[in-house]
Amino acid sequence: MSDKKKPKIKSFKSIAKVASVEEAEELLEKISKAINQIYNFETSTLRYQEYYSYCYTLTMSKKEKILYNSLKSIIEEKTKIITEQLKGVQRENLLVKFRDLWDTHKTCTGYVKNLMSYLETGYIQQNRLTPIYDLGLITFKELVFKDETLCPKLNNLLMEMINKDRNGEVIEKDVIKSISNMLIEVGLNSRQMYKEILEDSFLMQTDIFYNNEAKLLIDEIQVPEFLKKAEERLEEEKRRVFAYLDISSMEPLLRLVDKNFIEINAKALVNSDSGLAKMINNTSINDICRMYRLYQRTHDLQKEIHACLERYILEKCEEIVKNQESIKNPIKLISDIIELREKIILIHTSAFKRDIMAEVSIRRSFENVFNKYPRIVLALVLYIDYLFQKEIKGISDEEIDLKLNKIIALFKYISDKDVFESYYKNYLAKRLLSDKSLNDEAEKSFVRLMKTECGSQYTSRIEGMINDMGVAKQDSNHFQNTAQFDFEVRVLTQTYWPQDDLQPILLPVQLAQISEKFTNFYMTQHSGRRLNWKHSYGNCILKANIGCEGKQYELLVSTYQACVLLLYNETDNYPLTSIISSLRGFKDELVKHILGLVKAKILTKPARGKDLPDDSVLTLNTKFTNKLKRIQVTIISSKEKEKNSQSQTMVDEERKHVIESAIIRVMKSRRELEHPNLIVEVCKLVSHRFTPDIKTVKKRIESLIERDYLERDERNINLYRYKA
Amino acid sequence: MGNCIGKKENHQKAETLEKSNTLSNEKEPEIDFESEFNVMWQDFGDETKIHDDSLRLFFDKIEIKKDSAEEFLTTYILKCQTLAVITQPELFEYCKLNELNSWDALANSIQEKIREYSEDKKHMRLFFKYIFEKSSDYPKVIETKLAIPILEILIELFPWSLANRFLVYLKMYRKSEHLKIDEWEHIPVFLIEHKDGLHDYNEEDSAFPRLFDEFVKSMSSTFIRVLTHE
Repeated sequence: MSDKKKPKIKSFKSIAKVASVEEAEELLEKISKAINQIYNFETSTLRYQEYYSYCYTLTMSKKEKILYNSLKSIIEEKTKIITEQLKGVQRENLLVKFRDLWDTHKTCTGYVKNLMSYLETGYIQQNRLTPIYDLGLITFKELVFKDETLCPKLNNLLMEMINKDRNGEVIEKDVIKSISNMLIEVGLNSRQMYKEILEDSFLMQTDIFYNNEAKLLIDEIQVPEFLKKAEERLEEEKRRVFAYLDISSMEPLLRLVDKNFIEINAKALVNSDSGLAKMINNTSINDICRMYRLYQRTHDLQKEIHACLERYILEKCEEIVKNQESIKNPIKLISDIIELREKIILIHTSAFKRDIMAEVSIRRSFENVFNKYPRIVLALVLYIDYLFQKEIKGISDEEIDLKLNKIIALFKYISDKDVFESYYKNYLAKRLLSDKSLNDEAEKSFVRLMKTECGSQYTSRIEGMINDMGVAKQDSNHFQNTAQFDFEVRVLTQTYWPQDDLQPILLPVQLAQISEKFTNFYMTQHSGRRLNWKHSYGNCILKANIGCEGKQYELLVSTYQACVLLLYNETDNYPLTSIISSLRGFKDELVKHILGLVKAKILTKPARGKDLPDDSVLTLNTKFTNKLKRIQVTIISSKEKEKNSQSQTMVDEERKHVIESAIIRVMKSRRELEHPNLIVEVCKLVSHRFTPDIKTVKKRIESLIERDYLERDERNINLYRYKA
Repeated sequence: MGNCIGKKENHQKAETLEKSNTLSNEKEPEIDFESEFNVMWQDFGDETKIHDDSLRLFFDKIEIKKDSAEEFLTTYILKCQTLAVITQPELFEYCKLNELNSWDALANSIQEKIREYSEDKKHMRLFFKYIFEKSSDYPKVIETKLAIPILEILIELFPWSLANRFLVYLKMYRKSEHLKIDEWEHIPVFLIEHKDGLHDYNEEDSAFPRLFDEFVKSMSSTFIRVLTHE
């Protein structure tokens, strides 16, 4: 290897010679000729390598600037020819001609670029001059698109074509697509030409077109049809963009459709006769879904739907609440509300796709109704009572669960849950004591649901009532087994059950003996307890020989009624005052039971009417007769209004304690707190039971200050301090 | 108010004291402060108590109007055990503490304190508490029939329209027989805090007792408005 000579590579520069002025002019001439050949499509004889070396020689001879300028001139000259050609084209052929000449121009410029590649990579790049291809495009832009007659012509033609397309006529979409691409390409990195010649006018035309169309349609067609049309137009415009426009036009274009169809008419569409309310009425899920979808496209527009939904629920609920049938029948009232809610929930799930804001609107409107009409709370309790006493008979556990879930959904809307609790306890007590509840498990299940919603503190007393019944039944059975006597007693924990001030009456000997026996029995079982008899809740079967037929009847009466009737063993006439004094009973309560006996025609009273005057003498009906052997005697209970006002008073009283204990709890942990913060904390603490009135909270704070639990700061009256 | 024994003699004594004071003012000699006090307090049975006439003279000297809110405030400033009754030790104690040795100095000191206290919520609250403690028969409430006449005097300390309106409200609408101490104490605080009007009073954010919420609510009543215009 060492003997052999190493091959020498001569540098390219070293072999290139510098051209003289004459030679350079000759080379420039050759290049110009070649470029002209390219523009005349006579490229077959051109040898690129040859022209590469010409460019190189010219560069070496420092003639590259002259070469670049001469190239520029040739391109300008050729583009001027294109402009003239385009000007001479008939209007209907202009778009096609434009496309063809543009394509040719691009191709030729490409060839020129290849031909002059040495100039491009060397001189042009080093001096940061416009590259040859871009030079071609820029020259085209400068000469063709700045022509005063050509551009408006092109713009008009384009708009005309698009309008035809929008009206369903067939157009050459590929030509428009090419022009659209040309406008983007010619701008290099700018959309300016596309915007100026196509997009701006197109968007303006679109705006006018849809504005007119929407105005026309909104008066002519129903809302669902209008929405369908809007959606169709959106799809059409999307297709249009893909077919012959630049993708950047998509957003402003669709925005115009949204604006003209939906945004401008948002309120009118929702509130129209054929609007959202009608759609909800007809449960037109697809239409509602479409409306929601279209409104979703514009920021903050859905609030119109939410507002309408709220109004709809309020109106429908008020319609239900004020309906005469519902006023008489609370079961119907709640059934109708449940039905309405189910419909709304279906719409929320299927059409609104569980939208959070829609959910808030639904909840808010139901809450408003429930708090505006406290009657609904009582009706709900009555509905539950009806459910547990009658409706759940013979239905499956799954169905029961479904019903309970629907009820608990309504329960969630109640702000004053303590009012509900008060009513619920009254009716639960009645159900449990009269053994009318059909399904203990369902009762427990409902309590569990309430517990999940409001916490264990809320249901502790209700659970206590249900537990009491279980224990009481065991005790009672045990007593019956030992006493061999049909006598049932339910021993209840006083704090769990609804309170009354009624004291036990003086029982007749027959009943007194057995109740004493039970007391003794119970005390042996449970020491340290005190039994307080509640005779007003008791009932018994009384065998009575009354009436002229000498027939023995079995009277299903209350304990009070039995005690009253037993008095008639001695005489047939008894003044009311004597009955009260003999039994040492509470007058108003006794009268309710006596009126039941009067209604059953077992006793007669002198005066007609519903009242029983103090001086009444009640007589045993010696002519009493009844086809039945077993007769149920009712109690004429006090009016619902009175009962409810009693419940409300108890609730108010209970609230005082709840608020005060909340204040103490907060202050004990925080030691000192500013007024607004204390109010917020207290409201938070009690909110699971009821929504407190700020005035009431202030009143309780004042009361605690008065009782020295709290004090105000000497300087800052807003600051409370806990006094341990 | 005060001890009435030897009223006539006391009156003469007070006149003598007044003359001597006038003379002394003409000559502008140094007043024997303590001896003048002694003159005021001596020979009235109970040496620690001042007689009514002397008391009137005392208030004249310190330029405080007798039977006015300022008189009550003076007794509060002097930390008197009994409302509107000034004892010698109490006055001496005040003078000693504040190093006062002339009538002018005493008058200036008290008037300055009155001005200062009248605009200070804390002091006015304590002053009302003092009035409550000295006048109410009950530990936590003051009878409305007693509270309103006292307030009629004290209202001069708040010479703006809201104070009069509040008094009218109490007279007309306060159904309860008592005002709680918490309510009573906050009257001056409320009146000072809202001397410029009730535009920024927000019932829900305000910690004032409900009495004031009710008053503010009633301000919309035409009846109250008409009355206060009169």
